[in-house]
Amino acid sequence: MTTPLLEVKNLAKVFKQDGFEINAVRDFSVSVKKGDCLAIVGESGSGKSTIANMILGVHPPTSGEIHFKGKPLSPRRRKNERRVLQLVQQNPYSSINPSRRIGATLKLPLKVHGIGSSQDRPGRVEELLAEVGLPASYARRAPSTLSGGQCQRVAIARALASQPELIVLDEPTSALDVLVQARVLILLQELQSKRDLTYIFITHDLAVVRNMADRVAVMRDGQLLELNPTGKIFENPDHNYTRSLISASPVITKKEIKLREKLKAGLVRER
Amino acid sequence: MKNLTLEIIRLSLTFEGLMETNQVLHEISLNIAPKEKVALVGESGSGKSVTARLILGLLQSRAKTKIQGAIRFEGQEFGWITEKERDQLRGTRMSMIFQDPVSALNPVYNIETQFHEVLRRKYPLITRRQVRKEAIKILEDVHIVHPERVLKSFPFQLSGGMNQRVMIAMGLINKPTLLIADEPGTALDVTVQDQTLHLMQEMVAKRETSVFLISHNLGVVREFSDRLYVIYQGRIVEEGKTEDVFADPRHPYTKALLAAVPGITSGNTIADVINDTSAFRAPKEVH
Amino acid sequence: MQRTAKIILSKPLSIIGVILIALVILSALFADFITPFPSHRGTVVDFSNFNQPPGWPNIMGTDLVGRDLFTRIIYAYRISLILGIVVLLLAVPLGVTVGLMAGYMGRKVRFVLMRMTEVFLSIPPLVLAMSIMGVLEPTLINGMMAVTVMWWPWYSRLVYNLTLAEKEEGYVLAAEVIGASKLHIMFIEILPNCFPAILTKMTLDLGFVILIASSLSFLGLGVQPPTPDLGSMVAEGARYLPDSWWLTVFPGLAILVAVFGFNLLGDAMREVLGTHQ
Repeated sequence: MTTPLLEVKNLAKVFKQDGFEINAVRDFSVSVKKGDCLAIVGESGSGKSTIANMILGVHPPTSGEIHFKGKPLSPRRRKNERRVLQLVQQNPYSSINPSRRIGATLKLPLKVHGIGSSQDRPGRVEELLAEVGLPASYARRAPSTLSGGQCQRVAIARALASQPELIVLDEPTSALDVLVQARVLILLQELQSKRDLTYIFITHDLAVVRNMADRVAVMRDGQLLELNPTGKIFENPDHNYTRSLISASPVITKKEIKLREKLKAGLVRER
Repeated sequence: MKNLTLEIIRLSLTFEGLMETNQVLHEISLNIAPKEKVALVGESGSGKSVTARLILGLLQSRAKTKIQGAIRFEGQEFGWITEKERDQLRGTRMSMIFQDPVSALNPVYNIETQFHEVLRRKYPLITRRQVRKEAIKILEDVHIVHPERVLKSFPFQLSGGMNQRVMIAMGLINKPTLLIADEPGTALDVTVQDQTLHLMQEMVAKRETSVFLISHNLGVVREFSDRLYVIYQGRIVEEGKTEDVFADPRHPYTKALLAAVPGITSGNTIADVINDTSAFRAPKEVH
Repeated sequence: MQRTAKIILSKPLSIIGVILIALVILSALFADFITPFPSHRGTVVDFSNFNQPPGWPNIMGTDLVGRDLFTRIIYAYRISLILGIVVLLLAVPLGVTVGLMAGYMGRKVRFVLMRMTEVFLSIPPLVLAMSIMGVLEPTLINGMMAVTVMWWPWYSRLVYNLTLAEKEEGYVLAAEVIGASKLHIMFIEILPNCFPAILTKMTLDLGFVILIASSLSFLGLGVQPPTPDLGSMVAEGARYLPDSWWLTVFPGLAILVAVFGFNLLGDAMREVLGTHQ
């Protein structure tokens, strides 16, 4: 058996607020193979973003371990541990610094991780922009002159810059319009196969999950309810909550309506 | 066809900015019959939200805004009535439900006081007791179990779903003939959004209210509306019965939109999206 | 640039502010060329011509030793502006650094830095400056130091609040995930986004610094004679009111023009930069 790229064991996070303890995540375990896309699905307050932050080393876990390529990640991440795990956030306008040019934003990861010499960095920035489908001239532009979709492409390029192995995608398309969302999803799929990337896709949108993920983890109130291959989640989920999530998703084709009806019927039967 | 609830005829809107003028609506025409649920679908910046604000009469008195065409509400033309009369319509004969209920409700007043505000627009002399009676009745209609307790609560003490129900109740308590819903529930979780839509459907059917739904979410539009208009860059590009448009989209833009929506069935991979948007400028298609 | 011009020109008060400040700065810069008696800024005595009411060639009259008041006011502007700029050049970097650190670093750093800031803010500014000047010798340099000490905490509080808001933005999280240093995040990522608010406050403050410095010298704690200073000119002239009214009225008006002008300019800046605190 090969070691998984990322292995999360009994991860838990307790937030303390005004003397109250909030269990944001309880006993979450999952392993992700190289080249896979794992979706973590849940509604607000399900703990899915907290898991992302713990994997990225933004918050230390209260308990549990995170192993990368079989080795535990240190609580205070070293530079090289940060380099391999990157992030694309939900709000493209907020995630790009409005007062810096696109080129400077893309150069930051190159500088921090000492990738290339300072002379060939402008060239690397151009390559990164090309990889996400933007012209090289965008390096000199200010973020305010870009559309939401273009900003999100820059954010993806920035995540790619440090040559990571795993990217956490935190609702990467939910702030975008439908057409733009489709283009960004296609770009993410292409990059995944080209760079042999592993994705952790955090979202509430099940239709996106259906098209992107190999496996799906369904979360509610900080707890992992089920973890199954995407096909099974949408055909015959183990948990009633999964059924109700799918039945609540707005859909547009007759085929989808049929599937939803089927899952809804299952929901009633189990009650 | 003289009894339309809302009729918009060749409406154009231009903002005159500091540097340039920006035409955001290009002669759009649409209408809503009594009891009809009509949707306006478009992406951000397509002009759908300004249309709603024009219907509510919120842009008419703004400086540097040029409006052409006509808006008729229950046969009454906006151009002919005074600003005061137009303001009087809002909250009485037409009302609005917003995307995010928590920010739409006032955090410093409890729910009862906010119901009082709303009812007072229609009945200036209403007493506190009548307010409570009316509010409890409608909160029961939106399936709130303890209406008395909710009335004494502040918005932040209620969940997003509860606030959404309160919003719907407030929007409908004055028995408006037209309800404008701007992306209702999209700020909320899918399950709550689903409940919101069903509740709205139930309430407007019971009260015979017309609905003007503004949304970018095609799934929501398909489930909710009887008829729809697709808007692209300030122009209506396709209109028809919801079923017809979804079964047989004719305009290149509508086709592209529908193809771009990811589906929940297998093998329904996201179609390669057309990058050439020039086709989207094709003339309007009517079903 | 065009946008800036349009916004400023669309408001008459902003135009007045720009004109006033342009006049103050230009006259201070070219004082040597526009004043009729440049030597009167120093110890010149002309008893044949002392205490003259406004007339020609002394359009604002002369003082008790016969120096041209207009000349001295223009040179006093020069001193005031230098003082204001130096004070802000010292106070702003200090306050900004403290604010950034308090806003971005951990809870302990925040506690220490913000309590310190609040202590300084809680003492009435003039009292603080006066007590410092009471201990030190009243010279121009010490005057600047005293005003600086009372001025930086306002910037640390402003930048602290801005940093708290900016910290929540996605670009800060992105830089953290990349592994950028705290120094980089504070000064390269967050600080530029605070510039509009800082610049606006600096413009508004330039007027107030001039006012405070004048108050100090009015009390005899600031710039010393023979260097011309608006505050001490008002103080000296006050003894000869109401007969020699020009001795106080013109320096007083000069203070008013500078303070008022910088305030109007600050408001215009706020409009242009879109900063509303």
